[in-house]
Amino acid sequence: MEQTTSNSGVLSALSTQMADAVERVSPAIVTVHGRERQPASGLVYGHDLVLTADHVIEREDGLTVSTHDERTLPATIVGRDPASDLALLKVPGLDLSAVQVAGASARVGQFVLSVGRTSGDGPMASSGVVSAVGGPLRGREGVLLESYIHTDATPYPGFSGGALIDTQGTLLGVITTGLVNGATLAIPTADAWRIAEALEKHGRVRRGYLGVASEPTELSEGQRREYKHERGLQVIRLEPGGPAEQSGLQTGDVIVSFDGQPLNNSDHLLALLFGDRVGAIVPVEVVRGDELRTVQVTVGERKLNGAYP
Amino acid sequence: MASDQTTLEQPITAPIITIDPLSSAIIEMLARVRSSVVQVRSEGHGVGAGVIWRADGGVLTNFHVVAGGRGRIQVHLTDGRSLDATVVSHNRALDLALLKADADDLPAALVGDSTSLRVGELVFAVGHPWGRRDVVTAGIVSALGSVPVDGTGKSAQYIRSDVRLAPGNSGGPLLNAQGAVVGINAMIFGGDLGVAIPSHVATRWVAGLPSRRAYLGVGVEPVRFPVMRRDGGRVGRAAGLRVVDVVADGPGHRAGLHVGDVLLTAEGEAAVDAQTLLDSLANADGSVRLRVVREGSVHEVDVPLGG
Repeated sequence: MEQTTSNSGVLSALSTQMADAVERVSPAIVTVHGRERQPASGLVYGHDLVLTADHVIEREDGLTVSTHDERTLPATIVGRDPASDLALLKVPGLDLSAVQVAGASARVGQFVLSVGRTSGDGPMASSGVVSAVGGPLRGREGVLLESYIHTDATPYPGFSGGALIDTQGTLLGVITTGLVNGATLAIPTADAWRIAEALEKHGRVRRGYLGVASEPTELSEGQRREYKHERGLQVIRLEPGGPAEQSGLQTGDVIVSFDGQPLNNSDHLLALLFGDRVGAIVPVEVVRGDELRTVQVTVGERKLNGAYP
Repeated sequence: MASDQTTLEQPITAPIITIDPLSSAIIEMLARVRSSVVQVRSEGHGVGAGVIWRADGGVLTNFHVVAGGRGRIQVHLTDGRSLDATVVSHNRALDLALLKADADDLPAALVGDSTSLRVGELVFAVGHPWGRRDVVTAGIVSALGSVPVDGTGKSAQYIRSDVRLAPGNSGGPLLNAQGAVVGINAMIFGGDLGVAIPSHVATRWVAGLPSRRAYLGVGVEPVRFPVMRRDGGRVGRAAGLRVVDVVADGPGHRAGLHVGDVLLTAEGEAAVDAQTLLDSLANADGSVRLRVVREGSVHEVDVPLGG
């Protein structure tokens, strides 16, 4: 009656691999106690540093972190970035190895595990696939996250700040439910690490700012042929005294590239300003009248809730 | 795993085996365990799943699948047979019930060791959500833990998984990658879905049950109390079991039970009919504590069940 083939080995091997992956990442996942209700999760980012979700930090004092080896340590805030929902904590004496980062970025369809540490009962995990990799994304403050990973793995309460890992147990992204109406997303490791570096260096993330309101527009057939661009962003308003106006951009200009990158829509421009470009002088190509010209723009720093990109 | 629902009806085809060994392995594993998963129907109560625990008719299911049902219990097998079954024993705190189906040639499930389960391991549930037969859902072990059981001072171990479960999965197996039963799916702890009772807890519970039916040696019939007496608060119940016969030298007789006594509870469980009384006796350890109304007042009587 029993039929045994080599196939059963494949199934057992995958099962063992999934459990091994959880076991491997587990020591780099901590519990973050920063709010009254359900504690959240955090990732060991560097020496005595823990990266977690910003929205789970509801107080600045009395923060603690609990580890896989059942230690509870006081933590202080290094920096917070509500726009990307990330916060970096300093935990003296943590002394744990940083989470291992995946060598490649997430691919749609790939098996993944969401892993958190929501209590003292050990790690908690759920499984699924990478459902989508997308971006840019509007965050709470109107600022964009460059990209995001969407997964169908069940988000248990307290998983924010936890790890989205591959079946090798290496990190693909930082889980958060704080960005879009409670939807579970993961911030890809590369983006999260860039933000964490800025938090470690400056205590905040400086986002580039031009002071431009624009709308996408198609170039005429002649312009397309001549300038090798299909479309651009037409400047409809300039913030008085803003970086773009001061650099000489004019209403009516059609921006076709920013720092050499062709532009299709304003989200795209926001994404390009997301990196740490504050103070940089960036070449901006605009079509003005019948001319394609390059304007050197000094990128300003975006203030939260600013009117334009 | 995205908990995709499929039924076991799908044929095993050669091309799948060669091109998708992972799916083939799951299909083969499920084909092996399929005949050990039954549907349990409790007349006037509900429908759930069950696992054939022993070839001699022992079927494990959830207590809540058969609790409160006052009628016939039937076990439906995948070979088309429908067998009458009785509750041999139950445990409300563990949400487990052991049934005896009327057969001795049943395909018993392979029971795995749930003490070695790891978070992240693949698990599969087979059950009958919303009455649909033999539906499979897949996922992983999410957490292993224990929760206090209300009012008992004890705690219950559980397996949490991200396997999608629905009413009708209750009492069915949670299987590991080898197709061994590692848990009994339940809806305990406030109706929470996605929780299973570890197989080692079930195994230990079944092993600890008395091998023979406990025997009180009395005949009973249900009675209802007059409204006045209920309102007086001394009895606190609307109904009980009146002793109509006492077997000479039986445990009840030796403990001093008389014809006319009315049994209120046995081991804290309401004595509603002969079956619930037998279930309470089956769970009793050495002796059974009865609350009895005799000549208008309530007495507690301990009945040793030896012999």
